[in-house]
Amino acid sequence: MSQHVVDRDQAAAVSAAFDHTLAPESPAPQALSDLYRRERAGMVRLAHLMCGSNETACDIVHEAFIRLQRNWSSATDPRAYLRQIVVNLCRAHHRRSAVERRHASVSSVPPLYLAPEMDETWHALATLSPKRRVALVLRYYEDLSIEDVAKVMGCRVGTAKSLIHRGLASLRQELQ
Amino acid sequence: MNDPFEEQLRSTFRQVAQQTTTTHDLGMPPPSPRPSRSRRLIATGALSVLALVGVGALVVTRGDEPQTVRAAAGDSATAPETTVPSIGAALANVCANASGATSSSSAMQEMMDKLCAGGGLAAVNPLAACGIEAGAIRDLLSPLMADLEPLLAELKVVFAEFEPRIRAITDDPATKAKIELALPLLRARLEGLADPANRPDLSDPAVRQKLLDDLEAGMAPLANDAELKAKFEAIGNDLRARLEGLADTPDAQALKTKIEIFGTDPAFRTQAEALFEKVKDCKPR
Repeated sequence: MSQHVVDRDQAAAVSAAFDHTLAPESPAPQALSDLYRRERAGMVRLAHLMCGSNETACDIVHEAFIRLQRNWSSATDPRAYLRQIVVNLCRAHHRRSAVERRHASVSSVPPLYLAPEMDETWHALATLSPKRRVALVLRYYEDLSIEDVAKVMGCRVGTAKSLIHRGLASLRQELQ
Repeated sequence: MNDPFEEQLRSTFRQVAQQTTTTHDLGMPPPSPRPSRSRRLIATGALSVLALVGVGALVVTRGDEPQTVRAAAGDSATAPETTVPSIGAALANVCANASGATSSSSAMQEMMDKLCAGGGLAAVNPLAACGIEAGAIRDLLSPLMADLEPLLAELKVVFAEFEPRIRAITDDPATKAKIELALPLLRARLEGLADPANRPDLSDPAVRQKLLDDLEAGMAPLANDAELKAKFEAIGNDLRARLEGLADTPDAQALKTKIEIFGTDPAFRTQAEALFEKVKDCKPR
């Protein structure tokens, strides 16, 4: 019955398992473990917004932490690096599942309980191209500057600006 | 000035993010299809009323030990028994948790310390003067208490989720300054209530009304602050959406059905109506 309570228990178990896997060979187990506890939930939310699926978001973030662990020594800002990995994995997920997404209906995703106008906006987001969607999430959820959006997405500032502008225009059109 | 459309997009992201579960729902049954909006509103209403009545039941009853209560309807000899925490235990819990809730130097912390040290809150029972027995509401609802418990636990989880957002507002330096301005009045009023020697006569409706009016006037600068109001309204909207989601859970639906059945019990109706009449007469104004 209590999904959130169950999730918390599961989160604790996953966190403990993560600690265990990091223990002997990790270059900075404690710091990485702390980062995992601190950032995991936020990264899952970010990934959910970018890829549209809660379950995929959990997979992506888990994978992102594993990649971060491998490259821990080269990460000067681990949180920013982690976010970069999550964004890249979401975009890779979009590329891999492009065909699947074209044929999948939005209703196959577990329902969210949103106010009607927000429900429409969320569904309209699914019609955007992955790049535009990612740009909008980084700009309006993460509150990044356009320069930072460009940096995270690995594109020029003008491109990021264009993705955001066109993303908003497409959404407006979809919602009209 | 932000574009309203961009604001709507931000709100949508925030709402979806709040409903994101951060682990796989392994072993969980698939969610049931979404009921209509009107059904959800009815369920939310029923749940909210029940939660308020449940809290009210705890507030009007007090004691220092956990109490065993009997079902209100039917033969008391065969009625089921349920152990529920006393209001004294609930207040002790609030006081135990209050020490870590805010910075130890804050005015709010000082106020909580004084109230908890005096133990004055536990002695307040304004409904007793109106002939309402301690435990009356709790006894009346005791057959539903076991079903209410998991939902109250869910509510606690929901409020814990919103706590950081509320804290972000109250910790904002500009808001903090406004709160600190309004705090002395609130502190004086609560300290007055906690002091048995100087406590006003709460059995007098005029005294209770004056207390409410004074508090309302004192809190007006905060309550009428447009910026603050907008922030809390945004949280309120999100919270409503979460509560609507909660009302759709199988537990809530089962409780709603049980309430509907329970509400048709003649013994319950007679007792509930009698209690309602007493509470109605006890209200200020």
